[in-house]
Amino acid sequence: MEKTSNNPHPLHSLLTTIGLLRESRVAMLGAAICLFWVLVALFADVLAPHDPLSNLMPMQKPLSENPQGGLFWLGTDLLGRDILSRIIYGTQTVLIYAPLATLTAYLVGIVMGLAGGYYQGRVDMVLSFVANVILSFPVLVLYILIIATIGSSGINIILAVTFASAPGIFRIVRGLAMDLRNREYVAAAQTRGESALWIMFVEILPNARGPLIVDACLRMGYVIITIGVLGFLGMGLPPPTPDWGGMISDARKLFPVFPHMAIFPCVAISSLVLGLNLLSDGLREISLND
Amino acid sequence: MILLIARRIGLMLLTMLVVSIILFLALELNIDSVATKVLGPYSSEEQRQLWLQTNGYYAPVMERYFTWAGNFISGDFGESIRFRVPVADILWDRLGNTLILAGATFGVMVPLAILMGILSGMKEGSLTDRLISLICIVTTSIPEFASAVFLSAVFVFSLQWLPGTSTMLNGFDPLQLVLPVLVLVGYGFGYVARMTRASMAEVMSTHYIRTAVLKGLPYHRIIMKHALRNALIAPFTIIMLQINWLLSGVIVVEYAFAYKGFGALLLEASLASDVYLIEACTMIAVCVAVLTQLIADIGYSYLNPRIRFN
Amino acid sequence: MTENILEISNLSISYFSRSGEIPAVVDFNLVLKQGESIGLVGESGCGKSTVAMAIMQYLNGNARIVGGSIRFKGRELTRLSAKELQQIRGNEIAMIYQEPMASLNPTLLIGEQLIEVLRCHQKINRHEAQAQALDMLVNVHLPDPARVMQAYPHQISGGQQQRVVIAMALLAKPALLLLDEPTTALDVTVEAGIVDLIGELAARFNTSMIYISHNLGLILETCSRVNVMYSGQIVETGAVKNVFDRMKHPYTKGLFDCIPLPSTDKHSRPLKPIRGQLPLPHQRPKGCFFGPRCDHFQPGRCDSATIGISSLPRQPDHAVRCVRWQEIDLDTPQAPQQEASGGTGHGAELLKISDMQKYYEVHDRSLTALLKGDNVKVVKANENISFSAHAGETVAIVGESGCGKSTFAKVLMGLETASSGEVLLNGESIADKHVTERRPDQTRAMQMVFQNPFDTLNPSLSIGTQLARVIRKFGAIEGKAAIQARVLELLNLVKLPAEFAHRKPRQLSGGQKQRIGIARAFAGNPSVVVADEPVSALDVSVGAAVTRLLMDIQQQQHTSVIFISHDLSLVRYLADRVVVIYLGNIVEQGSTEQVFAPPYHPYTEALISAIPVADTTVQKKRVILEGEIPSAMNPPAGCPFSSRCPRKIGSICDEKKPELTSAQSGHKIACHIPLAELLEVEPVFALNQTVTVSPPLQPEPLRSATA
Repeated sequence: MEKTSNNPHPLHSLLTTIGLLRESRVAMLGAAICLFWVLVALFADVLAPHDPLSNLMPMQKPLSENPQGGLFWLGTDLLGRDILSRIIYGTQTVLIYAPLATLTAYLVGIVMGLAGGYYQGRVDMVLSFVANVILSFPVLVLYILIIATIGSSGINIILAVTFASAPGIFRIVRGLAMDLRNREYVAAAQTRGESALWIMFVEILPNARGPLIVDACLRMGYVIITIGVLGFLGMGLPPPTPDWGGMISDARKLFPVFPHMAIFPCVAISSLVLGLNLLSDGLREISLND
Repeated sequence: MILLIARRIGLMLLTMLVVSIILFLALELNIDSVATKVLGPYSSEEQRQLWLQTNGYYAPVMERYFTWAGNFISGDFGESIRFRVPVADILWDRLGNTLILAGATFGVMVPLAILMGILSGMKEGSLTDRLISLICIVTTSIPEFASAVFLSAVFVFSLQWLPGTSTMLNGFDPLQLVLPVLVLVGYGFGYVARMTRASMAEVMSTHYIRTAVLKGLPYHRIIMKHALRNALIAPFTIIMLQINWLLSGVIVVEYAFAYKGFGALLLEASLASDVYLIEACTMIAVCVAVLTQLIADIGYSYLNPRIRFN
Repeated sequence: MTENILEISNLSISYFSRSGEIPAVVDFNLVLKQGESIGLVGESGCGKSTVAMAIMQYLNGNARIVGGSIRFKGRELTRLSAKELQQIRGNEIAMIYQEPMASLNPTLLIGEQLIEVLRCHQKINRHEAQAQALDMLVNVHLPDPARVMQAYPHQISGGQQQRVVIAMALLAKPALLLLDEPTTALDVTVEAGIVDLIGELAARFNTSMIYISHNLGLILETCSRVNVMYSGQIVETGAVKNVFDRMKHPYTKGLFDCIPLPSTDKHSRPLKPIRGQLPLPHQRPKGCFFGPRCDHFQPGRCDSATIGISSLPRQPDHAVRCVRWQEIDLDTPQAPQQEASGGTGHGAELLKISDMQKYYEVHDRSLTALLKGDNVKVVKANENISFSAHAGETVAIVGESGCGKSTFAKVLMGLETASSGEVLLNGESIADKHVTERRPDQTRAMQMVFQNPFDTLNPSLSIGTQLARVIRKFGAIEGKAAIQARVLELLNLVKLPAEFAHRKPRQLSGGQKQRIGIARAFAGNPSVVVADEPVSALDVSVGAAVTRLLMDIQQQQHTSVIFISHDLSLVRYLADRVVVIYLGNIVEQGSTEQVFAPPYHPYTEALISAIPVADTTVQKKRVILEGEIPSAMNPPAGCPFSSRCPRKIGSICDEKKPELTSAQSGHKIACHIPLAELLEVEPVFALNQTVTVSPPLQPEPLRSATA
């Protein structure tokens, strides 16, 4: 059934991961969509027909011709910037901030969750209470309050996401750690005198990776949506940056006349989130089969 | 059980207390900035000091907090900077409007989500299951602001069936409620449905369902009597916690459709640095969230005999 | 003429997966008469439960019957409509399951779950159904049946839950009862009561039974005929007595050689594990499925064609699936392997525990307790534990779930510290030292083998990495190459190939994982190894091999083993001394011979009597315990065993806790009954007839240093 390999090479484990993905069509589709956007971000300079920041011809409908040559495939916005180019460069923005924010949130959440789940008792009580307090704010209220207080910039968005998401990650990791700490291999590590740090990061964390990867994909989707929402509410990244949420916000005023200005960024953001959700769902399915 | 509820209520009050302290410190610790926000950036130094003096801002922080909290509990939230009226005057009105929107959303979303979840989880891997799962994944991938754009493009501008804004300027109009509700249901129901499905699927694979089948019970009895009761315990909690999520969604939707509700108020207050309004709105939001959490906890223990009788 | 209740002929069941068809059950035949009970015995994965589910027509989504027929009272079950099936299930064929807790709906009252069986199959009103259900609860000997009707499943104990499941199955007076490992999840003394009940009820209702079990002893106690299954096939079938006394198939013989019998010990009859492991369904060999593991395998004959089942001429009921059954002689004992042990006496005292106590404080969070002010309860997990262990000696700690043996292991290993008393390891006190406070040589000197093979290794790390970490941690060996060499040495020690160092735990079978667990424990040449039920989760043939391995290594290294177990036959087999624990108290301790012979503590007597024995020559005295093990939170005031003791002598038992008193050198019993009276109790086991070929070797008398 399964071939056993004697030399677990990193490349080999990457290949097995891809092999695993093939078990689920949903995961494959999700991975393909995500990969598409990653490629778009990587090759934005090649793919974008125009400069995303230069004001060319305002308020052009899709497929209208640019007198300087080329087409405005998706039209232009209020300030005459090419929408397709802005979407392409916007991919870079979203794919830098969302993974970075998710990652920092995970770092904080994992450390808190492992500590709470492993030590339990008072440590857990304090951490859980802090998490409960933060989670008792409706998420968006929290974002708005934070951004309204510290102002909107890339770093601040990452900070806000970390602050607002870490408690949720804490809860998941804590639950997993509480379960895993009762495993006999943890007891074995304890009886040979391993330190708490070793047990948390070598015996517990790697064995919680399945559910965490599934959750991370899902959460990255939420973060992308959040960044979009902040942009939509006018609290996103400062203006000239090509940002999908901001583009939708700008287009709102002219929506009845030029719906395309809002629709295309919406399609972009929805498809990226869809890709992540499909990937997460497929990974869950695969992990259940295992 | 009684003790459990008592402990939960205690925890809830403690959470509220901590939140209020954080909020107070974040917004009112720096008194100069409060004065600037209230009196405007062009006020003079003396004006501000005078204002701080008359409003008791030179008292110690602890004392100020207790006065503030006392006023707050008695319903005196202060005066809105932006609207120049007492916060309480606008707050309850807006809250009522949001309640209508949220109620309508829940009224549609919960039955729909549970029905789809049950149908989907009853037979895992069936065509119905796959179809429903796909719909759920797609709808949860479209954020509210995007579905607002898509739905408006179709129903407002192409078909011209529905109004594009929901200002309710000429009195209550149910037609103006359709799009906001549709947007909220669309983004929210998938999550509840998927959770219900997971719970149902798990229950259907348990040994006690096998026992029920092998007892020779009719299928409808197995589903209605044995499966549903167990399968709905988890979604109940999820649904209660969705209220917290709904408050976030409401902000986007109210902003998108210019609906005069609580979410839009909170957003306006934040953008305008309207200190007292922010405080009131946030406390109300947190209060709702903590209360629903409490109900979810109590309900969960009540529905689960293993906790109820221990 | 009794009619045939069930006829299964040429039944084949396959699983269908992406990799194609995988046969799970092949060519299965069975005839069950009215009132008869047939046992299906085999190790996990042999297809015995699949057969039961096929009879119920409730196979997994990807399993299908690919051939043969199942006729119940003349009706072909495989062709019934859903409606007809529903009328048969629970009404004419009922089933009892392995996990009683999981089999009952947690959110419905027990009464409701019982009544619906009757309401669904018989047209009777609710009131009448209630009366019948109550009646059936009386029949299964449940105390206070009216209260049970109004209870939720979690409010009653595991044994009571299984009684409810039995009552539920029998309510509609089915003609056929399927029992799928009905007592595997229960404690031995509870199991004895359930087995007794099943026999009693089957006789009373004249129900036919198919009893599925991995335990040959239980089959002997419950069935008249037996089918031995291996890898999806019946390999031997016949009357229980014929199969047990004159088995013809090498696998049947192998199974018997794997199980320790309480009438023997390791010196007279060493366990003989079956080599290799059960083939995966898609990797079955050609010809005889057992071929690769069989000592009588003959190339060309055993691996050529499909092997049919053939009846024995003088026992038409007895059939065997083996081409060589007429040639091979399974009866003559093979040259007894000379145990190297012989008379190596025991060495120095390595571990000494005296008056060790472990109390936990538990906060009772109920409102009444809070109002009364006594919300802190003390759980006395271990009370006055005293014994010692010597080099090369095996001390067994025996008790049922909740007796405190796991807590005891935790204290020994330093995961918890003792509340009072002394634990001396090599003469140094470790009782109040948490593992993090112990010196490296102290942690190295005492290591543990864990219970659950699927839980004992970190799934994310390769075997080699895990062993290397242990070696490095113990610090005896430095340098990458030296550590690598030691890893291979350890793998060799547990008889696994060197290439296993690169494997991940999920690529190993349960037995192999348990071997790695042993290698890990012995990595630092410990002087004491605590083994917590190391084979209870393994199949008998695999478990026997692991047990053998553990004993061999112990002998080589002269280690002291503390063997924690609930399985008295295994304990009898491998222990030198036995400590019996009940509710955290030692009730009896002594050498194995002393504990297994009168005078017994009444609890030990019941425990021994509860062992299912797969030996038709052994006559067993039945002592069935009433009630359940009390909670350690609320133990009886006097003797801990007083609430269940069949030999209670009066109020003194309820009021005063008996002291451990010496019965003989090293043999101590804690009981109020005078020793003279306990001495008169007859032994639990008696031999029916003297058929033993050679008298069991008299084991070396043990000199206990504690005396």
